[in-house]
Amino acid sequence: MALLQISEPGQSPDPHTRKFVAGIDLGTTNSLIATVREREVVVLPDGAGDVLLPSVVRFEANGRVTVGRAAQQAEIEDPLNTIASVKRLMGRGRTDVGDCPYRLAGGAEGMVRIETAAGAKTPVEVSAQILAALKARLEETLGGPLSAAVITVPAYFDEAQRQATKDAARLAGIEVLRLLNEPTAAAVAYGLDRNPEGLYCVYDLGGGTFDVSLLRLSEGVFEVLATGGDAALGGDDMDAAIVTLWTARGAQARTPEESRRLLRAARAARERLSLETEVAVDVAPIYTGALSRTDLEAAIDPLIDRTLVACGRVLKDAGVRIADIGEIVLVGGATRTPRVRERVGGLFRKTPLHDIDPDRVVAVGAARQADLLAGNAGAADMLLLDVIPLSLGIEIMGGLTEKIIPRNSPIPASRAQDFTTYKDGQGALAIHVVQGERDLVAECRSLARFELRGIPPMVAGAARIRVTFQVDADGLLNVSAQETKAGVESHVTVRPSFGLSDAEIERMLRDSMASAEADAAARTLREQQVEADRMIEAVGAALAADEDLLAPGERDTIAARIAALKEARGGEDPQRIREQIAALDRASAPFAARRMDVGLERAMKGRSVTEFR
Amino acid sequence: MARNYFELFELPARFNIDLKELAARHRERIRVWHPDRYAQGSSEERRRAVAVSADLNDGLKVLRDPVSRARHLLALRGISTDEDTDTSMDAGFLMEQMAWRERLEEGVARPEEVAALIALVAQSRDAKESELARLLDSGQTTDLDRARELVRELQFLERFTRELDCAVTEAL
Repeated sequence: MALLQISEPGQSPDPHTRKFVAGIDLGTTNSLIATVREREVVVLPDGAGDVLLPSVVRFEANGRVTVGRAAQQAEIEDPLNTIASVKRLMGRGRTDVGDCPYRLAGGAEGMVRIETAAGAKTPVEVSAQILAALKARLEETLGGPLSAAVITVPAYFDEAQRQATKDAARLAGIEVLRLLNEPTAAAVAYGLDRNPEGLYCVYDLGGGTFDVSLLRLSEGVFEVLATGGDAALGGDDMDAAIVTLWTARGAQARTPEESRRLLRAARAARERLSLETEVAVDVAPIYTGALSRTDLEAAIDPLIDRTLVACGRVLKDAGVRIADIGEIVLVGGATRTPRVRERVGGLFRKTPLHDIDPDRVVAVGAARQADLLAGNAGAADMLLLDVIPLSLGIEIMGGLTEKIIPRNSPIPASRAQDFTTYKDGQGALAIHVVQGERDLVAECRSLARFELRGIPPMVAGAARIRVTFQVDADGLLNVSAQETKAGVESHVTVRPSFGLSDAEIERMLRDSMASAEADAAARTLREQQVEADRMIEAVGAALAADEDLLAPGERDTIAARIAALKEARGGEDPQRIREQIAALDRASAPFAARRMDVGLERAMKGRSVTEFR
Repeated sequence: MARNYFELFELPARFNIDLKELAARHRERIRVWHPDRYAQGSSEERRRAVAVSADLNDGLKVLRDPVSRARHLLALRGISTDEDTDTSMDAGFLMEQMAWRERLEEGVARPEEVAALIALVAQSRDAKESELARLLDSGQTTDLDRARELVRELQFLERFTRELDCAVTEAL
């Protein structure tokens, strides 16, 4: 239990030895740092009075690194060495990243690297520069060292992205008290401020990520009921949609610089349209024209639609009706757009709350949680119970996923599952850990592969291999495996393997309802193939076992059907496989009937349920 | 020996339990054991907090659901339900399943037919759960084979209920 630090009456702790804890919102567009002083949260400004630190880092050839507004000003003149929105690259491999305004490097494995004048930088290093700048801000302002921090991440961040964030903090010399989900942090900020008990829905649309979480606050416990979202959807996409519109109207960007200028103009226009109904756009000579609110709404409505679908799914996951929700909380700069407020309000039939600055609310909640975790006297007495955003599973036969810990399970979580060997004398077992909602392993994110070796020789099915998954309070996974009969143990710390492209991840993260159709088709094919294999093997075994029950010529007929099924099984058409299964079934039916007559009782009793599917 | 989640929450090892009481006991314990309470603790304390909290969350999940609760009760009495390895089922039950599945396939487009099936399955589940309660809470160990069978059948019905839910969602 954390010890409360209580000063002797009349003595305050020595300011020079006092350690500070903070909440850090490491955002796609802007980052902030906040701390609790005298029980009040203070969001710390820089020397110029700005609390928002633009999440932009510039690397120059002479080794100089600039962070924030100064770096942002160099964006146009030095676009390849000035890195913005790096959060989108966190925990991603080279093949994960599609269009990107930088020169990327990195092979099939490991995290993507950005080529700069100062050498190749990983997104972790770039993020570490932002964190270091915030740390320096706090230490200069408060005159003491930052000892530890709560850092926020999108609720929908996967294992690799969470680990990358933690690594960035370590690089910046910040001890991470906890990785806290951004919507949860926002709910804490609102909940502690006002304390109405009930259900909160947090809609968080940032620069690069979208999260929606449903929380219940009762008796000082914040319980996340369900979370969802899209790790690659945000204000940046709105800007890109505006640029697409301008391109259709004749704008043409020829260089990275020009693209950057167009995107900046799009963001500026979008922000101004929050107050005005039409703005003039002058990005001469690339594009000159106007953008109306109607234009903007048409461009961004498809993106908002995607967020609303995700909201619907979260409600369904939690088994909550729209009418039950007490408050809608808006978070993230992109929720300033009136169209977003209007449509979110329309879905929930309620005016969303946005009276805590949507840019600051996450940092405020994180600072509260840091204060609590540090065991500071007077910290609010509350407890956060969060969930894992994406299901964790392992690969089973046929390239299918078996879910071990389903999404929205409360964390910490652990789950043990027993497996057995497939062949006689099998000495090792390979385990492939994946994350995602899809049925096929190939469409989930590969997290890690590891092997359990030294299983003593046993007949197939005799070994008992217990695999334990444990997810800690940061949402990070630990897997271990043990053969329970011989006690062979294998441990693995999951180091992600970054196998998917951005498009694939987007697909994986999108509403699984939308993708259910394609999933179902692939699954059907796989099932038919498995069924075909089972059938071929079963009939082959029957032929070998009860040869004497065959009628004249029957063997040849059945053999021909087996060959035809094998051929169909090699193809991609589930319907054809199904037909050939049926044909083999018909051809072998009389033979099977004779066999059944011989062993009716046994055959009935042992009849597998799968035959009834 | 299997983990005894009833002991974890100091509840009687019975099929019929008070779910509100279960939730209250979980909350009471997680308040104490959550890793957030040990953020300043030693690494051993933190490890333990994670393990115990995970156990509490897992226990809540197992005991909250009637089928997994019954499976747990049987495991505590040394009976494994072996859903993964043993696929033999009562022939009458399978015939009924087959008939229901056919009804679903044929009636998937008609909401009233799906609704009728949902009601039928719910009724069957209720009946099986009541029987389970009688068998498991009677204090006698006479007919645990029947209890095992019921758990295995309920597992089937659970899966079928999910398919029915999907049919309803698709129809919307």
